[in-house]
Amino acid sequence: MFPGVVALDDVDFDLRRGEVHALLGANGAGKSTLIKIVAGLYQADAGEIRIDGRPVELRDTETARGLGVSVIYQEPALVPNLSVAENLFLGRELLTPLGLVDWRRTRAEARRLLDRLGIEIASDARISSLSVGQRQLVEIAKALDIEAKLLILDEPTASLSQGEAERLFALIRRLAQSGVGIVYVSHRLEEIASLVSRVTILRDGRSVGTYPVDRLDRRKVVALITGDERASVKGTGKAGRVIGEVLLELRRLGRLNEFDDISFTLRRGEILVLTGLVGAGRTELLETIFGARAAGTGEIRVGGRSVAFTSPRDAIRNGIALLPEDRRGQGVAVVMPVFQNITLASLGRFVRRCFLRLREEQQHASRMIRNLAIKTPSPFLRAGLLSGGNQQKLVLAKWLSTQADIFLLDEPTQGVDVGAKQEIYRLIREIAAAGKGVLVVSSDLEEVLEIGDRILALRQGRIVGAFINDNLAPARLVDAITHGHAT
Amino acid sequence: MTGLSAGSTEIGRRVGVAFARIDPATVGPSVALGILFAAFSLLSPNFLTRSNFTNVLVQSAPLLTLATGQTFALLMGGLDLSQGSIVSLVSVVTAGVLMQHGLLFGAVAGLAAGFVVGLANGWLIGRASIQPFIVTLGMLYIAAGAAMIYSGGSSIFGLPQPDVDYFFWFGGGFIGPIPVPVLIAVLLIAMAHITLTRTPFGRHVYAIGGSETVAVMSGIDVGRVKVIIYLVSGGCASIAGFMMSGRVISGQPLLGAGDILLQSIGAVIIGGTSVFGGQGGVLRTVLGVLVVAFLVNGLNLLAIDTFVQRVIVGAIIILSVWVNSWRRRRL
Repeated sequence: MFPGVVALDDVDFDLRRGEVHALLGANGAGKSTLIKIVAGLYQADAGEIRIDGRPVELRDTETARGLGVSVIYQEPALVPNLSVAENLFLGRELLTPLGLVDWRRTRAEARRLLDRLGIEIASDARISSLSVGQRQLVEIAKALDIEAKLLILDEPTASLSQGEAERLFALIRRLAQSGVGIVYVSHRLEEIASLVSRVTILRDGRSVGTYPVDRLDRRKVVALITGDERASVKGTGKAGRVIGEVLLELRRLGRLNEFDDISFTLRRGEILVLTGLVGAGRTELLETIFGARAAGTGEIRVGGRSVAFTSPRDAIRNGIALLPEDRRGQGVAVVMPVFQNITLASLGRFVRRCFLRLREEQQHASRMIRNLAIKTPSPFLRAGLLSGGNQQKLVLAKWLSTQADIFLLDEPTQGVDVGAKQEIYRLIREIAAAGKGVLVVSSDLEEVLEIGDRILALRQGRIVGAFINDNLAPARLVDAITHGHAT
Repeated sequence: MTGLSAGSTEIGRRVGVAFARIDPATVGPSVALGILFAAFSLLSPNFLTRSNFTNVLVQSAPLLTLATGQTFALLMGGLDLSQGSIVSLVSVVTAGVLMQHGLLFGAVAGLAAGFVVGLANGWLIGRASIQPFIVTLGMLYIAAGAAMIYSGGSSIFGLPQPDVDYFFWFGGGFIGPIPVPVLIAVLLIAMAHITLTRTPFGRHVYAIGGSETVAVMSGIDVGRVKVIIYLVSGGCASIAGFMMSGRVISGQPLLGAGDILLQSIGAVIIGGTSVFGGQGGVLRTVLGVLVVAFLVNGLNLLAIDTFVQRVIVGAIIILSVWVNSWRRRRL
């Protein structure tokens, strides 16, 4: 499967009935491979798997599912053009005695399933009309409908907001109480510490141990994951940054059913964080500033001038950059080489007399790869082969190659491992320190508090709280996001 | 220690560069071409002769020209079904106008008619955002119909001297030992290759084929790039139509109605350009055309009937995509 690479070696792992067991590790540690072996997608070269004490051979996904193994992968595997109900019963359609699809029963069963999980999504909504977070919930509903003995969740909350995550956790607890064994794969322990009983940590394809959760703290976990006893330290914060003039100003900006009455300013050297639940209108707001959506009401001012962008092209010309939430769909051209991704938005720089100076272009790309510590064997590698964190750095490199002054970053560390996360935080601080304005959208509370100078809480499309991040109590933020109180 | 690691990264870089230079997708068609040459040389004494090679190249010049334009459309993830009809339209308009006003006006009017069709394709695809398949399928009918209307459904023969001799020169003449249509095709291929590899426009074509959304979000004027792509494809078809008409010194309303469109798409695919866009290039297309051209030529020399030839060409189109997808999955 991976020629010449041992993805997993000598891993012992056990799961008890009714237990929630966390599987932690950096990207490439072997978590995905382990899951895929249990799911029947890959076959182990050595070793044994037992379910209920009996050795089993998981030849394919069908066998694994038959034995009660249900897996929820990171990337939602839903058909975008079909409805929620159709997706829930895809491949095991409910039929009438005549062998036709029983739509009445399909809709009713779908509704019951969604209600049981407390998911407020219409069963006949098309998947393509749902946000990434909502799709994740549908994915979970789909996996749970199968009589699962063993449920594996691969980073299920990566794109969920606090509220959605809480709802999911409540559900997981209920499932565990009913006797299902649950493996919870994650990068972060903090968010699931209250949920899990034991933690197994993988590093470089080997297990570095299984611990009861109460014997671990953040420092220890980071050390075990990275193999680095020094563990990560909090960033330098605002040190060395000068807050300058206003770069971006929104005045009562609104779009029907998405957000309303949004006003704020972003200054040079500043990191402003916008946080809120999925569906709070955050991505829509960024895309409106970037010209990918037309503003309904209100005004956007860039450098003191009122602007009305009709395309991302306009916005980019005016010094705006967007790192999109949907990395593989909007950020990285996965079939193009790394260096071409880096220069995609700034090709004009390398043109002399109508032609591209390829050498100059490649030298620039190599410089960015070095400066941003993008891990790639060659600038000619297809960008899709890089890990999530490195793809994210690639998108940053693309915008740092332009004249952009205003950086809009939508969930910049989603699906990125612990080490790469810290590097991205460092890059964000460097961008701000270079006198640019950074507007970050994030639902990761820890991240919000770590990088933000100022924090705006968004709820149902409106700003419900503005905070200066100076010993800010997380509870105050959570309160604003979920209940709309700014205290 | 530092010296060692610096050395090894340098080697790593060089290996990366070397791998990037040898395009693995070109290996398949190159090997196929080599096998064809070896086999036909052994089986037929007439294959490996200068007159045969000249003949094959002259005959494949229009296809090379068409497929060069088609490559742009496939690279951006589209295709151009109207190429054959453009050939017909250019043929009758050129011949018709030549009849009254001479070759210069005939050429200008004929080529302009073809470019207008390409521009219309481009506008509908790039600005009105209609699927390339739908637009060019519609245009296939419209341009073919226009060719029939203009010519009244019959061929335009009996072109006046001396224009007809100059006209033939473009389709069948020589400069020294070099056939004119081959020269035209080679010049177009060179221009297309440089455009795709060395200009921002070329990069934008690949970016749109790779991911249109990423291209939009990177500030590329996707609509404009698409207009130009279909202008290039239609323009290449126009030039091919002009050469083909010159070769038969007449205006034929059905000149492009046959196989030529499907051969054009087939050759690009055999060359290894992805039908999903984003990967491939003009040089691969040249390989694809040569494989088809020499295969057909060799089979003709061996007196294998044309019906069998079609079966073989079809099988090769499928086989080449199969080999490519198998190679990609393995990597």
